[in-house]
Amino acid sequence: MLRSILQRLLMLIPVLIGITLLGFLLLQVVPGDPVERAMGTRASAEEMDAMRRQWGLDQPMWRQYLLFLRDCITGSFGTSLFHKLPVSTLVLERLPFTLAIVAYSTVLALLIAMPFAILAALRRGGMVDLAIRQLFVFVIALPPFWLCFLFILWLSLGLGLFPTGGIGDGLVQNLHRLFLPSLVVGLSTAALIQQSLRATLIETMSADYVDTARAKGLSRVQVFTRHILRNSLISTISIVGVRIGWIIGSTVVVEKIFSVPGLGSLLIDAIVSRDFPVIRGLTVIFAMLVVLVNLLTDIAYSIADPRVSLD
Amino acid sequence: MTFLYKFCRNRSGLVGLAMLLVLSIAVLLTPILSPHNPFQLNFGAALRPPSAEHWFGTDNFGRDVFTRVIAGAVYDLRLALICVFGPAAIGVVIGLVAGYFGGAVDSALMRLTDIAWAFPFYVLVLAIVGVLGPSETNLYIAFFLVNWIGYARIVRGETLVTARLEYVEAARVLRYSRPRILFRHIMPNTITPALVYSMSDVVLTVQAIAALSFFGLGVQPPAPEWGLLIVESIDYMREAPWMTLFPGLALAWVGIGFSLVGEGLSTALKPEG
Amino acid sequence: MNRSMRALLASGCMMLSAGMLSAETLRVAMGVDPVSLDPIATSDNASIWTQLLIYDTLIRPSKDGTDLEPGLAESWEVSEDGLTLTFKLREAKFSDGTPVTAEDVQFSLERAASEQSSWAGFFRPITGYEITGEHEIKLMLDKPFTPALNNLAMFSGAILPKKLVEAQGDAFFVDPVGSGPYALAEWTRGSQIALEENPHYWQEGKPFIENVELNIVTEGSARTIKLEAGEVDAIIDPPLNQIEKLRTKEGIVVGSAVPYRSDFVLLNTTKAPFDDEKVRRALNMAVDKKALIEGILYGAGKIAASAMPPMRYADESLEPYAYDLEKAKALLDEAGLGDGFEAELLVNSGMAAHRNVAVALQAMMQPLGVKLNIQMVEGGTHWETTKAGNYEMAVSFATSDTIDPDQLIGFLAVNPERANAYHTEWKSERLNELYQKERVTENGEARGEMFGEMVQLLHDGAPYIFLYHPASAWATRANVEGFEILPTSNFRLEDVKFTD
Repeated sequence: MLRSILQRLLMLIPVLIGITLLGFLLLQVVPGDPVERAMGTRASAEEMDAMRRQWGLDQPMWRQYLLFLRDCITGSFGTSLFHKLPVSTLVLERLPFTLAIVAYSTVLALLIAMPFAILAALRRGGMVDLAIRQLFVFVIALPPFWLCFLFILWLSLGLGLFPTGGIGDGLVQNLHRLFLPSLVVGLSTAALIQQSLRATLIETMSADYVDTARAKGLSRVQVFTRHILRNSLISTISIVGVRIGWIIGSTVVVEKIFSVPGLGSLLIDAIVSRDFPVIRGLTVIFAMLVVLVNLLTDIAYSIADPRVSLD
Repeated sequence: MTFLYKFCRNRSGLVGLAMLLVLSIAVLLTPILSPHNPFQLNFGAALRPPSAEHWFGTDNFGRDVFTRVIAGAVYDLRLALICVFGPAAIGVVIGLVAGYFGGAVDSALMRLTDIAWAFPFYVLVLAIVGVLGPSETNLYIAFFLVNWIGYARIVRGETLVTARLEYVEAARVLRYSRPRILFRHIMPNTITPALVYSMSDVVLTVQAIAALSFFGLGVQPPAPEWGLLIVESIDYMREAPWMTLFPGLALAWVGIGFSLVGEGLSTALKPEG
Repeated sequence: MNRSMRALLASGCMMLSAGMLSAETLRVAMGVDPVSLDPIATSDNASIWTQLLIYDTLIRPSKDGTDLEPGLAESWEVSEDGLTLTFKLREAKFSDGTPVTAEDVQFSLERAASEQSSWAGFFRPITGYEITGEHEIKLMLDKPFTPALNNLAMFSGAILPKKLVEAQGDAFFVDPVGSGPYALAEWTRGSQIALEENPHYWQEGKPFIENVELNIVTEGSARTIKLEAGEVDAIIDPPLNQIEKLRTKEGIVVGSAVPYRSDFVLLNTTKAPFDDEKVRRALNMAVDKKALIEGILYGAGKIAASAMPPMRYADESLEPYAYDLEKAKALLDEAGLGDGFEAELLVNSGMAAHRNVAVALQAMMQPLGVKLNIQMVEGGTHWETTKAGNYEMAVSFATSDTIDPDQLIGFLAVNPERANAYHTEWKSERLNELYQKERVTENGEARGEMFGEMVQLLHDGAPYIFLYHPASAWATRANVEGFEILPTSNFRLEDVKFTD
């Protein structure tokens, strides 16, 4: 077990380096001089020269990349033009909020998806199954940023159930405040989980060991909760893992609208103030986050289900 | 004809197609039938609720929201279709080549897409447009840089399987030219899963385009783009919720339409058994 | 890394554990986020507002904007020849308990006049300092400079503790120390600025409220909603269309003032056809300003006759360009543009009213055959693009940080100057001459006449499409007393209290 985890970690290294390279290249498509684009006429010619040197823009491209790679390895991921702080400092301040939304939304997604998946699996092929499927097609088709406003209009303004945004003090307040943003992210995750959970439930229900369990005299409910549901839920872990990029991506939009000071808000603010080092560092960090969460879910999966190996 | 038959037997596909048709008809007829101009200001008629005259009400400038939403369909659909099928074509070719020839090209491509896959879609598009600056051209650049990846992966996988099929072997024995084998023999078999995938891609892309406008990074006003309509409505959300509601519903309408068509396609294209 | 880890822990803890909520806290919501707390590096309103809560200036504009009142200086004297300004400082302390001395004053003003200052021109006329006691300082001028006193009352003349700034350099402004009513407690960028009472503040018994939170809430309706829900106690700039409704809400008080502000469209006079005065005047006539004020400001504003706001020495009798499409058309004909032309209009995407102005202008210009293409950009880009002269037309505005029109006229009408007639590159030799004269003329009728003539020249030359002077609104919960926006657009909080 430990060995295979170690192996996976080693395999991660080239991927992480690849991410820095791709992030570097993608944002290298900027036409013209990035310093001039970033500073406009704010800075004098000497200041811009100094900045070019500081960024290493007077160096050949491969040196520039190595400089960026060095920043990534030393953990700073570059320095913000605007805040004059390492990108990592800005990121760590905001990371907890983004992770909170990711986790919270996944829990909400499970809570929403589970009953529907069970119902659909039990009534598979029938009208209920079909209705549930259409319901989630509908949910996925709703644009997330519009849903945010709809919820604000309806649940915050209309019914006064939730605050319109921001973060609170303490766990209880934050569970309340982050509910709407997490719900918006969670709804699209729920659609995914529902689909895969329904499929695995149906598959497990016809598996051999279920018959064995039933033969041992366990009641239907017992068989369902202890064997079928448990095993199916484990396999949804990997679904969440695969879709983590999507989940993390959706937080960007949601955070800005609900003024949650997370990574997404940071990205938008950096774009608005044209803080290129932050945009680049953050893009790379987002991708690394996805890879890491993917690995974690894989490990969790293999621990929860010994039949699955990490290789 | 079995494909058409199967597609028609599947109700969701038909419903989706009907939804898209209804929208297309509205797009074609509204400029002829509607007495309103989507750009004409009329401060005197500002913020009117939905009525027989203004089906979706009016906005803060007194413009007819229905006319604007319908005019927006042209905008959003054009953008979304180009941003999906343009990169899709590129991705299909790359996938075909990589899957058929294999070797170093293939493994390089696979490493590249593996890594690119790690970048969240929204983050990548936002970052690219953010760096390039807001404009329609840059929007295309961003989506072309991002959207081909999925197609390349799907088609490559399918090509690997198809290239080993007997009839392809036969074509090779007959010494058909490589492009002919690739495009005439292999592509038709590999394209169907890509087509199904493209339907959900349209849904995501149309939402992303609207989201970009929402952050001021996409289409510029006064274009009646749906995302822009929603941004412009935010300050009026409370007195005039129709300004926010209808463009969003239009987005959802398109989303559901394409999702259902995608579902219909996937059932119809599924091999028997 | 160490610092980063602490940041992570801090925000992690904030999320999980409830803080203490015993002291009184005034929660304000505003739409803009400060850029920096260094008074000589900034010109955005959010930075200025925050700085003015943390730092003091020697003297400051009175609340009604008609005169100057004592700040850190309890009294001041101007010599007969106008060349020596003597300030007597009060016994004030910075928030860390160290006293404010004449040395701090000299240091801060020299810093404001230095190379690194973007406001240097405002302080350079001060050519000598003489410290005549711990609490007395003389400022010397080479030649008379009438705006000198007003400039000292600007945020960029804030008095900073010399020792700390010298020791810490730029880092000082991350955790600054000032002698104002509040001190910075914590700054979460993009989200919140937490302030706490300066225990050593010189106004006895003030501030009344111990803690202040400035919450950054960019969407106007979100601010209103938070106020109604009681999530904040005061908001700045509720959306103008919601003000009437807000007035009728129980438990909420709405206030408004017309600050020294003017909104207009910059016309780049180096580019055709805007190099032709006839075209510029025609565009001014093609705009139905009354409709703009009704439709976009919901009545909360005044039609502008020039780019100078109604303030000291303003000529109330100057008539705005009347809305007259026929005349506009005729003028364009004369300029050889009877068929109209196409132009790009730059707009700051962060300003809702300006977005609406752009859309309205686009429609209003249409009958003339003038086709405007809107280009929305974020605030920083807007500033840089206009500054670099890479634009044709741009919706913009200006506010005055002083109560004297000298700052604005220099900014909006003089070329060459700091902004070269605010990036329009429009130039009037006569106006330049008057500007130099005005600055050495004592306050009084003669100086007033000079301003009158300058504004008339600006009006006739029309380097801008003059739009309106918008009102500034705020709203508070009914239990908040003393909150208001001043003519200089900022707000003071030391006089604010809760009534229950």
